[in-house]
Amino acid sequence: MSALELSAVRKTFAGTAALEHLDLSLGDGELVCLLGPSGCGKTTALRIVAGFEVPDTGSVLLGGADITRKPANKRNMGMVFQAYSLFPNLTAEENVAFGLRLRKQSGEQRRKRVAEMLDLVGLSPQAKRYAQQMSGGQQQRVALARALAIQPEVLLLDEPLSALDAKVRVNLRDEIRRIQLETGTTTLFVTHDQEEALAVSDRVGVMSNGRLEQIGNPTAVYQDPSSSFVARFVGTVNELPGTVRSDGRSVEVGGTAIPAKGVEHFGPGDAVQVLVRPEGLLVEHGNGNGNEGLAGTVVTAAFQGSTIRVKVRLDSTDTLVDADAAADSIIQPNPGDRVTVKIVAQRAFVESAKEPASV
Amino acid sequence: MAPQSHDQVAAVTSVNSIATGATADSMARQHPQPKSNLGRKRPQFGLWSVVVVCALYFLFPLWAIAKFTLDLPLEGWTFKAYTKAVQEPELHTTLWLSLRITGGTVALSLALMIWTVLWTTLKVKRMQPVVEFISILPYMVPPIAFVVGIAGVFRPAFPSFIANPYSLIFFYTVLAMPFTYRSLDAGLRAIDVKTLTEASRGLGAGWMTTIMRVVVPNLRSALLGATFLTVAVVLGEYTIASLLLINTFPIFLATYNSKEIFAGPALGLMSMLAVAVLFALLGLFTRKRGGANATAAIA
Repeated sequence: MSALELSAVRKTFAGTAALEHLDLSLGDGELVCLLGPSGCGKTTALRIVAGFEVPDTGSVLLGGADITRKPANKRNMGMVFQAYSLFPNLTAEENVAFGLRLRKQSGEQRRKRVAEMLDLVGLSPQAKRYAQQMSGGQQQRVALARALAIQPEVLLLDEPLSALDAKVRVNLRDEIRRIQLETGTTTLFVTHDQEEALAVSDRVGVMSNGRLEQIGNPTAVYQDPSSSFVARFVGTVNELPGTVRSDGRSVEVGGTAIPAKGVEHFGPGDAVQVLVRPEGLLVEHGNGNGNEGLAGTVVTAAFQGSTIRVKVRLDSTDTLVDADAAADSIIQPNPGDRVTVKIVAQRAFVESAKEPASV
Repeated sequence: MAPQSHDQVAAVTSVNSIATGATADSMARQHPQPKSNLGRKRPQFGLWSVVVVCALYFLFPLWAIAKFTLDLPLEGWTFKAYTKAVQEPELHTTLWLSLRITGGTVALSLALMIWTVLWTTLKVKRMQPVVEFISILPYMVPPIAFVVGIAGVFRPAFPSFIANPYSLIFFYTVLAMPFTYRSLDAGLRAIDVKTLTEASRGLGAGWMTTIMRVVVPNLRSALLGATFLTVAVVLGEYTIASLLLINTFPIFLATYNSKEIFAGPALGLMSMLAVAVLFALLGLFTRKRGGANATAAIA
């Protein structure tokens, strides 16, 4: 039985659908990320689970019990918000104790639990500080401790890192995952940051227009996207126009045959888009043989630490593609260099060509 | 215009916080004080001129009353007028009645307005302009029109209600509405009340607990502002009480003033100073909180 289950949930605001037939289930101790652009419905889904919104139709089950219409304060869920939500009139330890006090825990039990939680998030020395005396990262840590202190059945994280700077965000992200694994709390994490989602989740659910486009483990979502939206939203993807060859197993792009996943769904001669991620492209110096790769010119080469992101304009299709080259390779690509771009076998997938824009 | 000095900024912040009810700490966060700059510390002539003129305008009449009531003809400097005024038995009964009415008005105003403002902020945002408009109606309707309306409706229908002095609590709540609404609204805008209430409810608190433990403590300055402004309104209201024939402190003050040439103004000055002390206390309180938070933020 799932720890949390949303079944056929629909929610509209002033006639506009924010969620359309959402089915989602979280296993016990699992961390699932809902990932998607602004307005895709991920926060609405989280707020429905929290009890701050009631779905128009569908149900929310917690441990098999229907909680669809149960008030938020009776659900026993811990939530960390995007905005800093510590009560300004209380110290860090008083904030953590807030939920415990409501549960009528004795003073001794409360002190012990608060100390445990603050220790868990590494903020014991800041116990007596007020929110305005702490950094954003510290405030979110205390908010996490406060949410976990009540031993919630589900932990809800609503973009808790989005207000933090890059370095703090990465540190806290890893810490959230460590704590989640340590406590074994079932967690629903909402974010629009794909890197964050891929890094911390057991499973990632990609949402678009109120629908769950795909849900799976991070590797599957990244490497085997179920739709062009998922491919485009999760990571960078290059799009090349092509035609399905007569053998029905490969696509011809700029005179070069490219084996691609999903080509079997199209017939010979069909116009398709070939989608391939930067790491699925190899960049070699020189024009090469026309059958082995796509000739082009380096436009920019941006150093990114372990790799160099090379932007190449292809001669045959006049499209720009991004490719990753190893930063420690002997010959570094430079703008203006002539190169050949090759597609790594089975790293490309196809979708139907876009409808031409109406004139 | 050159930046203001720290003291000037603090003073302006303090005055604004009284008027709007915004918490001093939230204002300190939104408007950090400029760094010290010795070259810019010279007081500005224009600003100080305005301050001096305003001070003279307000303080000169008070000084004149004080001189008039303390320096009595044939007797010289004495507190006789003041001692006579405070020993007046009717002062005690009317003041006690006014204080009870004030307490009732403050309690009713806050109880009604906290819920109203919270509800319009969190649940029915579209009603905010309507409530805002209703809240300023007492400004627009002259008290004389208000009391004529009240008397016309309540006297024939509920004569015992209108004759009861405590009926004033309901009418004064309406009069104080512009102050309580604005003060609480500004206070709520200064905090992220939606997130705070959701955080509280998510942790298991019901609405009443959320309001008492989360909302009210974070609206302390706004609540104090609303309270003091309501007190000032009630202790200074004459028209309604007079026309409803209820002998409150302002009615006694006006009557006493017309029959006691020295003790009357002395009592007036004392009541004015009492209200001024209330406001000064609020200013000190909010500034102290702001200062403490600013210090803490640095630490």
